[in-house]
Amino acid sequence: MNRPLHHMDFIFQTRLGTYPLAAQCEMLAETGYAGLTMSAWSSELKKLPQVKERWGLDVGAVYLIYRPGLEDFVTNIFESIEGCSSIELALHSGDTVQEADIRMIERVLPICERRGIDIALYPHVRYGMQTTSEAVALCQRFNHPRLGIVFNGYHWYATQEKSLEKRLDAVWPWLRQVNLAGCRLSPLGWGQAATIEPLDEGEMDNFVLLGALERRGFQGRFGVLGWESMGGDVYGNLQRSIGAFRSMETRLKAHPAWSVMTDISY
Amino acid sequence: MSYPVHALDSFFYSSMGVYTFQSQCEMLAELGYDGITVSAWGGKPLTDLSLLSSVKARHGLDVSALYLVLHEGRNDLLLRDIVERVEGVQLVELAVQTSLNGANGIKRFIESLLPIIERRGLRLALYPHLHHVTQTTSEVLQLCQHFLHPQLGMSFNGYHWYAGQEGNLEERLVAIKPWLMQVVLSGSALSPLGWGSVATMEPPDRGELDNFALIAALERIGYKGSIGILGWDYGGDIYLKLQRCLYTVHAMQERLLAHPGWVPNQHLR
Repeated sequence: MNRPLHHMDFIFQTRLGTYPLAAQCEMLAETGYAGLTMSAWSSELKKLPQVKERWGLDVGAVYLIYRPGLEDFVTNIFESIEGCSSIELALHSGDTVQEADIRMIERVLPICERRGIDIALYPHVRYGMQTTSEAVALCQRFNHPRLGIVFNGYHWYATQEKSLEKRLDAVWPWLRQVNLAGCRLSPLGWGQAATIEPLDEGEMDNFVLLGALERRGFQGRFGVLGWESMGGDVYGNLQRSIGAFRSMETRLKAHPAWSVMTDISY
Repeated sequence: MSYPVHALDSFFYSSMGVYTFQSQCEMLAELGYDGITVSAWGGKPLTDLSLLSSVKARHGLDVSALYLVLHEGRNDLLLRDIVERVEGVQLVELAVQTSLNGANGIKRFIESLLPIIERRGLRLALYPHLHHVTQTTSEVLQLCQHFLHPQLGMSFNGYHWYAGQEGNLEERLVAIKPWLMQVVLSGSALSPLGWGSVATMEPPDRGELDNFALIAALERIGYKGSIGILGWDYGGDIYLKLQRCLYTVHAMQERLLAHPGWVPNQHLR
């Protein structure tokens, strides 16, 4: 199978500093990743169009957060981005989705139409749009071909939205990308909700998630989430995550039934 | 010596669901485990117990034990009925979680179970469990000494011994040696974020409990049984965690064989 695997660039933003884009891309290419998602706050965002040519990596998306006061910044990213046609958009205007979030989407959708950009709404624990349910509601409201959803296993787990199969069914018409992370519920984790770890760690079963996506015929991109709390040697964590991902996909091909859980709860 | 290694089926439970029993057995067999412990909990197993007798033929795995949880005065009949009927397993592990009638009630239950154990050629291992009525090896040992029955013994669970902070590892193992029927290991660190707000359960390559020293201590008392790997809700991608656990336990045994002197001088607290 060997699906192309991406990694979000957060993993390179550590407490000791941020690795330069060249080092990020060299590490990703050497460890076998096909591409990266760049954060909109990256100081090297303008180099994005060179990434494919210089390092052979795809830039799958740019990750962007909307908060009140960032209207012009967000609009400018949509207007100016080159070398990438997908923006993963988190909405953080309040404890729930706010009118300002809706105004923001209304403002950028015409730019998306004109410039051929897709928005993948990014549910994010502790933000305004936290759950897949809220993202689906926005997609239903706008019903726009340029507006979809990125399913992020970490945030689904951290918000304890649960009902994986039902949530994937609900998200399916709008599903563009999938992000993965090892994680466990913990007050020591991000937002005091859950840890962000390499894919071979944590209590969330990503093999089951992969199986559920495979059964639905998901053909989109997988990305791995990373965060400074993972700590340690970034390169080693990249290796561990891709190693675990390849193990899971090989196993899934050989034993698809293993990923189907019973209906029993304990 | 090389101990057979089995996994507890609770490894396959997570907040995302429960793996089918067939998947559990297939994974363990592929990874090279020798057996599986199947839980019937308080009498409502998540696994169809009628499958146990075909596990060896179908998957080449031993059913290392059937695990039961007694709520004395509440589920006595249910558990007795399971022990009366279960096939495909020789060892029954029994944890005593709650009791309506105290020590005498628990003794009466064990007394009522022993004739069934005898008649059916089974063995009964009492299982010390943190936050249960019988928590420590000392408490369980007293019950074994009370009955002095050749088919009644106990399990030693490294996690519960460590989490219960019973301490005195060597002394405890020597004391329970005549009754020791089964061993279960886990990585663990004392932590309010762990199970029961007491201690984490982790693969044996993590945590602060030195499982290498524990295996060395088991070797010294001449333990010959199987070593079980505890799992509970920390699994993530279960297969990779099981792989790590088996690798670690095998690596510790090989290291012990090559370097029997690599043992801490001081007894574990």
